[in-house]
Amino acid sequence: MTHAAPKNYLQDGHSLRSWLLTTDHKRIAILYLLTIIFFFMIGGASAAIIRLELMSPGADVVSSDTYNRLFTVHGVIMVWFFLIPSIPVTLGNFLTPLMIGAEDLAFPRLNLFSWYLFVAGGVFTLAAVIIGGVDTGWTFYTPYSSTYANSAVITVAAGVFITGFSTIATSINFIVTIHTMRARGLTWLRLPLFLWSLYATSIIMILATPVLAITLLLLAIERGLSIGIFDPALGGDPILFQHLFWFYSHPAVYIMILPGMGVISEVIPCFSRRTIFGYKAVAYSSMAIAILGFLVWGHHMFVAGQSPYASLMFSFLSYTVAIPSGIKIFNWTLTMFKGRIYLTTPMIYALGFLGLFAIGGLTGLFVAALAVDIHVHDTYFVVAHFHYIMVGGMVTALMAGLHFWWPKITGKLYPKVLGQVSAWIMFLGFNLTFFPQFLLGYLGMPRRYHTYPDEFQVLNVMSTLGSSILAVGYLLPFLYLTWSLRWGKDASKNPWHATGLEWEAADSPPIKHNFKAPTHVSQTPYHYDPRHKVDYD
Amino acid sequence: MTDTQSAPSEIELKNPGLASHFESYRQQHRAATLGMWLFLGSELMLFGGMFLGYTVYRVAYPNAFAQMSARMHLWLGTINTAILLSSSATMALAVHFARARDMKRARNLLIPTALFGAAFLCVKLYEWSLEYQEKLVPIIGWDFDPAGVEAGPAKLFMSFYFAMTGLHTVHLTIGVGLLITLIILLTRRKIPPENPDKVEIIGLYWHLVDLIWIFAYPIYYLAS
Amino acid sequence: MTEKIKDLVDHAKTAGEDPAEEGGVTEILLVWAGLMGLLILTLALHFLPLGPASLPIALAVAAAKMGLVLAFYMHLKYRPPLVWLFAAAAFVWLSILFGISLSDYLTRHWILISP
Repeated sequence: MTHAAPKNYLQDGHSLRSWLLTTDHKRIAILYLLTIIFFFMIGGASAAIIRLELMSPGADVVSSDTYNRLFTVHGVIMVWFFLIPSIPVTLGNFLTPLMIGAEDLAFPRLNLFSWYLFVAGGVFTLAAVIIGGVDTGWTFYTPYSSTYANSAVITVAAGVFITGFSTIATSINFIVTIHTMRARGLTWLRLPLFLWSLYATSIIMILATPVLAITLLLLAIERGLSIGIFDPALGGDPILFQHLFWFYSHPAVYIMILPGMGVISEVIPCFSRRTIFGYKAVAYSSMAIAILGFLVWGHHMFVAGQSPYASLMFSFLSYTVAIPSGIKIFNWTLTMFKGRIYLTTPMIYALGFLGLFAIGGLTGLFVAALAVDIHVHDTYFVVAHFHYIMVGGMVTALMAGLHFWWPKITGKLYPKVLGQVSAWIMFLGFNLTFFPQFLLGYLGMPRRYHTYPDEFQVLNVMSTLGSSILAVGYLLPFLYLTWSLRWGKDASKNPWHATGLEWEAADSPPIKHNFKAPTHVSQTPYHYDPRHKVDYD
Repeated sequence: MTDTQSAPSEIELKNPGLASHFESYRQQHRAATLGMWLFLGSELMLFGGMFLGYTVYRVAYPNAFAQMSARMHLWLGTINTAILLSSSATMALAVHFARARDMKRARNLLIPTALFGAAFLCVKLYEWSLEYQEKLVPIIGWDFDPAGVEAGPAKLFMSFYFAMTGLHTVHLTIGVGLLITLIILLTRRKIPPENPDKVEIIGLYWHLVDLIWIFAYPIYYLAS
Repeated sequence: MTEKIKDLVDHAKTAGEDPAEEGGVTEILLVWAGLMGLLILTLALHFLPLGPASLPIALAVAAAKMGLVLAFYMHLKYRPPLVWLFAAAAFVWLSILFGISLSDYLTRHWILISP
């Protein structure tokens, strides 16, 4: 009897059941990818309406109450249902066992369960949006959210609460897998930097997310049963809510950016054909960001009524957390020095990341300064700062990662020029959208307002125009990547001539159990040589 | 080897309870242990947020909190602490026997553990009913009688008491459910002696439930 | 000497694998007796007029109980150092939450430089 060739993971079962009950980490990654794309569209749609409203100074598209609900939906969906899961649940789930040389993650069924938790949380949140939404802002500040808000706060809180456990489950899987399932020869200092950043991200996820859970639980209890915990009328302190909320939400922003940094650490060496500059510094700086990121949350509360001495300390610590990020930027840049640069689509995104993340990070230092923050707090300066990091940094890195590993995940290649052009469109659209917002914020335009003084209109129109270009920049990859699934050229095992077990030892796309033979590692990671020319068709 | 085989392979028969993506029982045990400790860490941070809230208000209103603590039912709380500590002992014994491959004794010791858990629940529900009768439940629309203590901080104390003991009870109930599941699995011999990890992992969870109570007890009952 | 260290390291690496190395029935029952003893102690101390120190003392006794449960019932004593690290990390993070939050509450009404 002839021995049938092992089918790849996509062909192994076509029924809905084989997808919805899979424990294969690669299929779960695809399920997650589809889900977060769905949520990205909802979050993006609300942003579109916001930008439409802000084209003119008056209130002509939506009422103020609707506007409040729009920016809340935008924030809640983008933070918890897009950015925080994004790279870890898609690229992380897909690549971790492959990069480690394992057949699957440590707890495959927990992995599937985490996707169902994510979907359940999403259902709650969508239900809340459908019945009218929430108007508190994604930050749910008390006492408005606990006592006065006239909206579906508890439903949204429940949705986010459930999704939090999905995050915790995913992070447990990653940490345990990296500790216990490395291939022979794969020591910690030979791990791909993507895995170092996922490990650091997972540490934050485990330690911070439960505090969000308890905060939302207390908020729901206070709102539902009128038990006063943050209620000033009972002697409660609304700032306690902010402490608990930001203890999670500041590390959450590092959950959002660290995986993106991990992607950049893989893409830049490959397309510079050089090993990463300062491997240990980049690896340890991920851990430093994870740890220091827990010490700075009070910088969101400088004007809230917090002790000025605590604020001083938070401001100082916020400067220190910028240092490991700065180290990474230097190291990525130095990796390219004397390298052989190839401006493929992933590389264009990665270079865009370097510039946009640098601007975003530096403006973080502006707002970390106590005196400056008093002026720019709750203005568009802050909005621009975090969008430069989250969108200019993180979403760009997600695009870089998707375009880099697309051949591995799908076995297909996308059209080369279209990819490069889309990356440029995204970069230009992004800057046109968000750079004017720095100016607006500095000039005093507050955030979360649907009307503004007439003199701010020009900058707002520029920003809205930019957002439509940005939308094109996101739509094009969605279209051509989907197109490539059916009509794209077949990819070889390692079309980028990249290093790493996922490229060198697994097929494109991989078989269900990842590797045909046990793997072992004997080289340093990123064993590139700039003297050798490679051919990317 | 195709993926569509449903009969157990030779490897699986020789290594009952070893998941296919692990190379050895040792690796599997290590993974299970690390995974559970990580989860326990997250649970600690969950309750930690509530402990912080309590601490902040204790620092702000020391007298009111001390007075309210004196009104707690000290003996019921103490009995419950003794119950939970003893349940930890029987749980530890169950894990010990499971790891020594004596699955029958392990199951027999899980039964008193679950019973202790149920006993805790009964005492707790009774205690809450007493507090309801004494008008100490700070839900809006219900009578609240702080009996001389400043009303605001009194309500804060009781809010934290109910929130924390409520969340703890939820965890305890889930724990009892897990114990009953284990008892059923062991009775049906679904847990192979070669891999008793499930018993040990649920044991760790149960001990965490005990640990939370070990700290909840002094801050509510002994804080006067 | 290096042989001894090597033995210790090897043992630490494989620690937690052999059930026979972990505590037996006697140890478990002794720990139970210890826990009950600490409970009686904390109850007795509660009736003494210790003033504001009474809660910190009660918490210290609770910490001792916790230590016993962690080390013996949860087998931390018999597990490799990595597990200790995971357990310790949670406590460290809890102390970050407490310490820094309290630094706000305790210093809110300070005035170090008069206006």
